[in-house]
Amino acid sequence: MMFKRIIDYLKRFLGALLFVSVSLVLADKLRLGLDLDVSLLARIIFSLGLLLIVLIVVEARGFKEFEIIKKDFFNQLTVLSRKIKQFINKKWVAWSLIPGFLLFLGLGFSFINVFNSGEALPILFQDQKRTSLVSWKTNELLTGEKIDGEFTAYEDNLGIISIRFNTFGRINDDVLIFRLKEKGNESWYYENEYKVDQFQPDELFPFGFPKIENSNRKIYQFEIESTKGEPENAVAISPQFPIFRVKYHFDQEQLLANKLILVRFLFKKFINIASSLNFILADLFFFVPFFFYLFHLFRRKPVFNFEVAENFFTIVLALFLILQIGRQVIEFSSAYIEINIATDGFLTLVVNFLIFWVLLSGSILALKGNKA
Amino acid sequence: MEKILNYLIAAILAVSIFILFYLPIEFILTEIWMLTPKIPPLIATSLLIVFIFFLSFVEWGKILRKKKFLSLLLIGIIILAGFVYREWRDQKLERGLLPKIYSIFPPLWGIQGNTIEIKGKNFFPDHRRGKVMIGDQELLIESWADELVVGKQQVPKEFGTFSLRLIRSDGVISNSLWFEVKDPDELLNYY
Repeated sequence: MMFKRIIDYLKRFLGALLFVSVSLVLADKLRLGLDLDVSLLARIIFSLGLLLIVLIVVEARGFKEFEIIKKDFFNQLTVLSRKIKQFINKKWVAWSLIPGFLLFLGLGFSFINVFNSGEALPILFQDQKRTSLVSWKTNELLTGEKIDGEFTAYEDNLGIISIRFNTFGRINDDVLIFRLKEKGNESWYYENEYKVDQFQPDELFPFGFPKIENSNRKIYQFEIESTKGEPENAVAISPQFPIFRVKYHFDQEQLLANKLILVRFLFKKFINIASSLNFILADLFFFVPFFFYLFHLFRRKPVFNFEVAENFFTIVLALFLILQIGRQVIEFSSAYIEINIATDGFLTLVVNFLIFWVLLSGSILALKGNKA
Repeated sequence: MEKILNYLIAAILAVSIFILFYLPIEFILTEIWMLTPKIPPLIATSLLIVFIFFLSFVEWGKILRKKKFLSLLLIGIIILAGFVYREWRDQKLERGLLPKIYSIFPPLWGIQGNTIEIKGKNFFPDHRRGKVMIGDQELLIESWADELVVGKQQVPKEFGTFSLRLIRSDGVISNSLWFEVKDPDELLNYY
């Protein structure tokens, strides 16, 4: 009796603890954390779980208790699944609510992916190829040597030019001079010195300058000159795309003040980022559940059954594995063959999205198999 | 279902009470009194576990079925906790970037030529030095970092107790601590 009471209390405590832990982890993902030590909660849950098992065994009921729990769980699951089936077989749910939700899910994730992977919100950017550099070299930039670039601004508010440098995996002592002017002007609009010890390997380094408000359609020239570069102690231009990125910075207040300007800006921003083929391909993955659902719906066969879940699991698992292999190929290409693929950051959310579906459909299959 | 409901209510109540009880205390200690930059997560987590422990013993499902008005109270607590959390978060974000002095060494008094260490955060790095004022007299800065400033006391215009505060390079002023500038002659009487 005593043991039973302790086990009961432990179960309650563990149940509540589990709910809190899951909520905290989710809140943390949404950046709504309470600055708690979640790992401590996990350790306590693990220890209490073990203690619970030991107590159940000690109580000499052995695995009977587990059998009862399992039976009870599956009974509840059967009741629950019957109710869910009744609901999802309603016509308006099957033909509008679920496809609408899946479409919304795909669109939502696409937007998140696009806006997460780009620059900060009030910034539009323009990637430049190697041909935009008038004179350049990928070897070390030594004292007095210069790199010249030229580009046509396609927006107003030009404020930053980010250039990708190769640091050769070391901290260098050189000081670079960055200069910028409009083509045709004799004097430089901006000039400043930068210590290269702050440059990150193959990362874009931002050279900021006072914003040029009427930069649209004007041609700008910039120059980078080494002042202290010497062999084994200098940086070079990295050949990875984009060689440099031009950024246009808009005032947040100005954007928020006028809804029309804001909508136009957001549209431009979306086009700006989504024009990359990588992103379009990556975003297609978010619509896999939607297309899969439509495919089965139009076949006029029951959508929610074991066979469909199995097919879905196979598809998402296959896509997940293909994506993983793809990421490895990208990494390998960048590291060893020097094929210039800028980043695979746009795939991170896709991979997480697929893992979720693999786990969900896999769990359904596992539960079904267990029940059988 | 009854059991799951019990777990869920216990969990929600524990988190809500934790928010209502702990967050204001944490805010006062770290942001108002500035006794410490941060309370260790271990303490906060342990407190939450204690709340969960006690609340999980109660049969919430049964109680709420019997006394339905308690559901309203429960909802009220959750909503209130939501408001408190939002306010705490907003205030934390707002104050998170302000310069804060947590301690000075020596802590109470000093004489001309003494080295004073000021520990805190958000002072800005060395290339964006601000100044430290004791009353209306500036401390001679020896080293400046985001979390530690070391300076030497100048020969004072007058002796007495003044407020010590840090003025960041962007003009933002930190909290102030009382600091006594002593007359060196006074110390002769100590020995």
